[in-house]
Amino acid sequence: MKGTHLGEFEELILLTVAALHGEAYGLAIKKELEEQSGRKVTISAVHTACNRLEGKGFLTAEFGEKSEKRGGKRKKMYTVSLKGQQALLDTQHLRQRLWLRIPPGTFQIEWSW
Amino acid sequence: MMRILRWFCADIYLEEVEGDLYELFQEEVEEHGLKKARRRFFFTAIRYLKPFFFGKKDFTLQLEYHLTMLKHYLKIAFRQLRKQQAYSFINISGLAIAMACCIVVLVFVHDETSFDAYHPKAEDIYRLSIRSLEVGDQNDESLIAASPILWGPALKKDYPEVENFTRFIPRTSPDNPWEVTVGDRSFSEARILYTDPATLDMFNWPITNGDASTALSDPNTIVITEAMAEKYFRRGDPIGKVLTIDPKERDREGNLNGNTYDFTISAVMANVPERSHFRFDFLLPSSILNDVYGGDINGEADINPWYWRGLIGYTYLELKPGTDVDAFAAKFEAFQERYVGDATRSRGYYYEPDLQRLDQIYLDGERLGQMRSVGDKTYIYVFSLVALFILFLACINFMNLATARSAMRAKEVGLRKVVGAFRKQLVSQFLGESVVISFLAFSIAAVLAWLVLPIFYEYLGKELFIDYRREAPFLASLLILGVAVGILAGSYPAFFLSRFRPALVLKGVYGKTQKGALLRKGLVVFQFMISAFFIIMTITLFKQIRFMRNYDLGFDQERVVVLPPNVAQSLSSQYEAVRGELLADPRFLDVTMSSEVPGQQGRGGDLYVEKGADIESSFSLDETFVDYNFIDLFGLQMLAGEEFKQRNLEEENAEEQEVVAILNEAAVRQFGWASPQEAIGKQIVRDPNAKDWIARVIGVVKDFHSESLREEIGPKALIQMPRYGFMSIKLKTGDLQGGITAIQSTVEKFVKDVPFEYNFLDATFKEQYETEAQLSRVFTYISMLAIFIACLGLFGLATFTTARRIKEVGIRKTLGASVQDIVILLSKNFAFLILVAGLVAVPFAYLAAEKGLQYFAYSINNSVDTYVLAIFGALIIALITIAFQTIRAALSNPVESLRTE
Repeated sequence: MKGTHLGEFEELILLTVAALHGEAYGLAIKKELEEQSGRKVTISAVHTACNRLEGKGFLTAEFGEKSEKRGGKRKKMYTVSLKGQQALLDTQHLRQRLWLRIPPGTFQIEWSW
Repeated sequence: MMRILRWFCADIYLEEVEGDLYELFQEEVEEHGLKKARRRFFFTAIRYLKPFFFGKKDFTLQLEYHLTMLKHYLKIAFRQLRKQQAYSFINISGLAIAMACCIVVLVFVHDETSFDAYHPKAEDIYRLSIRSLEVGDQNDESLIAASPILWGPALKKDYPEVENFTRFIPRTSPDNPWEVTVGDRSFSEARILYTDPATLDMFNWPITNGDASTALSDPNTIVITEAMAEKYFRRGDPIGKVLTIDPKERDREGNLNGNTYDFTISAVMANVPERSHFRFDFLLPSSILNDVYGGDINGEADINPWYWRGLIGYTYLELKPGTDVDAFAAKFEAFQERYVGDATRSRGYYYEPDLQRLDQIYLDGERLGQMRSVGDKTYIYVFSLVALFILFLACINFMNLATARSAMRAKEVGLRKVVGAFRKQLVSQFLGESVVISFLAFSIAAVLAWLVLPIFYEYLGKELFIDYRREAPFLASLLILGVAVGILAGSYPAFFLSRFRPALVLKGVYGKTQKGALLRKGLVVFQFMISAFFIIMTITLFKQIRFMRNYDLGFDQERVVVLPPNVAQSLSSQYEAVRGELLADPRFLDVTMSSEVPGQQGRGGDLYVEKGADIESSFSLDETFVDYNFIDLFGLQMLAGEEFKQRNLEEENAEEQEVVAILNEAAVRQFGWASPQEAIGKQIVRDPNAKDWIARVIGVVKDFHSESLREEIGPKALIQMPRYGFMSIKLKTGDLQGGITAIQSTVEKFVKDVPFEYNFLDATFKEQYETEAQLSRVFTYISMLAIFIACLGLFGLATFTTARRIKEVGIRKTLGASVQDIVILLSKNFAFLILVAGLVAVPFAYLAAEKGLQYFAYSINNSVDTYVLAIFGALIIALITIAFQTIRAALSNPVESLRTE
């Protein structure tokens, strides 16, 4: 299925948006992702990815109310669209299938989920 | 920063980005403080300078879009060119010719201004040229490139400003070459200079073989250029080899004594670059001259004081950087007091220094005795101005034609706008078309220029030499210039065309605006004005030259053969015999000897004063020493007194010998005598300070022009005295060539091994006007060019005017107008424009012509008929140009033209 191929960063963004559940906007996504991943994320990268995802149809966006804290600008709130959800689940399923295919004892490190 | 962001960021992203960044900023201020937060903000914001945020959906899509449009525009541009071939041809060719002119001129100017620039010290090195002035007549000055050879070392000794000096002393010339032999190969060489060792320090002529520090120290050595090494030694190593020079020394009788001198080659130097005012192939150490001149040429020990004032070498001074040249030059008076004393003033002249900076020598103007002919600054100015003018004209043409054809493209513009093109896009489309046209024109121009340059240079008598590698940046800048011209010229039409309103245009209402028409007419008038100007100048110059050619010079120059000093002087000891032999031949009418001949040499003179008069009134009188029949041979007209009698001056008792002179009218006036009659019997003293001889005036001759008509006739004295240089022979009409051969065989009978040379007096005299003749040819070409371009413009304009009026013509024809009526009607407008152009040009041309004619002491009057002829000519040319269009319109079938909807 073309077009549903997600990049690594894009996947992370989508997951974060889902996790933030209604509170997902540029800055919040950035902070959450930095916290969870432990790596630096620039706000511009977040904006770029979010808008691109929106363009591809994986995210839907809505403008919130004006707030003084943002110098009078509204927040752009993202939610994962149906297409986006499907894409995420597809990706995750693919991962799990591949993991299940690994014979036990191949890795030196123990894992279980 | 935020403002910048807002400027280029697309609106759709802007709100989100602004808001988030603002919030982030606040947090960072709390966390890191204002300063740091600001900095981080800056860096973050920069990251938004991505194509993504410029509002394009997708970069690759953008690119594809642009490429497609580009292809489209190009296609349209070329289609346009092909559809309107005539118009395109006119435009391109006009522009190409003008560009070619500019390229040629730019290359020339670039070339001429880069002479001698390759020396690192060029800005601090000055040539000490001399300005020689007549005592008593400040206006009579000569500029000479050479200087006394003893000045250099003395200047360095006395003045700390002089860091270093060097001299070049020539003893060969194209007329007096020396023979150089290596082994069994001999050549005649004319470019041998003596120089000081300091030369290799001061100038940038690298030694390619040998030791630079000792190269010129030993008097038995010689330095040669690579070209000479090639010539005499082929591939071999010249260092240490011996070169023999025969300087063609003559003994007292004038015969060659055959002495030769050997020199060891101590070094080989790189060839003197083409772009220098220096010209030499061999350098000999100056220390040799100590023997030749009998003294120390560095002024330390005894040497004939004449060398303090004889101008026989070139001196170059290296001044300390930052020296005030004028202040330094002012010190020369004291310097001359100390070393030269009264020696020059007592002889009627004195020197002033004329310091020329090395890299400006070439363009600084003519000096006597230069190593090679120099360039002329006026040429540079004139050519540059002309090229600019022509380019200007062509650009005007371009603009005119482009806007004129707007009617044709109005529909296209309207349609494009309807389909959604922005004005910016239209502007760039038309601008692009202009660039394409100008690029094409430039390529043609480059080819044209490349063809014309050698001819141009040959015409000016210069050598063309382009080092493509070194000049690459210059050539590249020419290309950029060409494109820039295209953009400039095309900008106006581009903006004009894109302004059209679709609604009006598609309805077909759009025609020419009143404003536009006026501008166009004005431009054509301007073009023709310039053309008329050039035509007038050309005609004036032409008339002046014709005038000069036919002017009665006051002496008979026909069929006179002149033998120059190199030949005549060796004959002088046997003059009587030679003369007798020649006169025995019926072909020769007369033979005479003189120190100068009208049009050749000259400027021999001294201070004279009337005997008994105040020394203050002495003035410089030109002297020509002549044989008794000089006046007769040259057909000079006596006004008073009597001619010279034949005397054998050698035999006359020296004590009783009286010096007799015949003066010209100008001299009589200068002496203050009321009439030629009064002059007879007067005595004039030569060199009143030194008490030279006293001459008695026995006659007065009518003024005659011994120099070109550029000069006023100065006071002149013909003195009968055997100091000769030239032999002149008058031939009878008939076989001139046979006469020459006879003269040659006679001469060779008396003197061996002197290369026979001769010239015809009238031919040599005519050569004086070579410069003017050249100038007139140049002007002719320029005029033709200017007219051509103006006509191109006119032709294009006429095409579109008549096309527009075709319906009007049709109606008139149906109402009964004849072909003549139509032609007159259509031409009337243009004729009026041309007339106006001509009349406006007249005052400018008149002033310019006046100024130019002042340059000649004897000139034509600035007469009316020149101007009438010029304007008439311009009118005729213009009418012919538009004839094609007007006649075609007049012959058109009204049915056809009125049918167009």
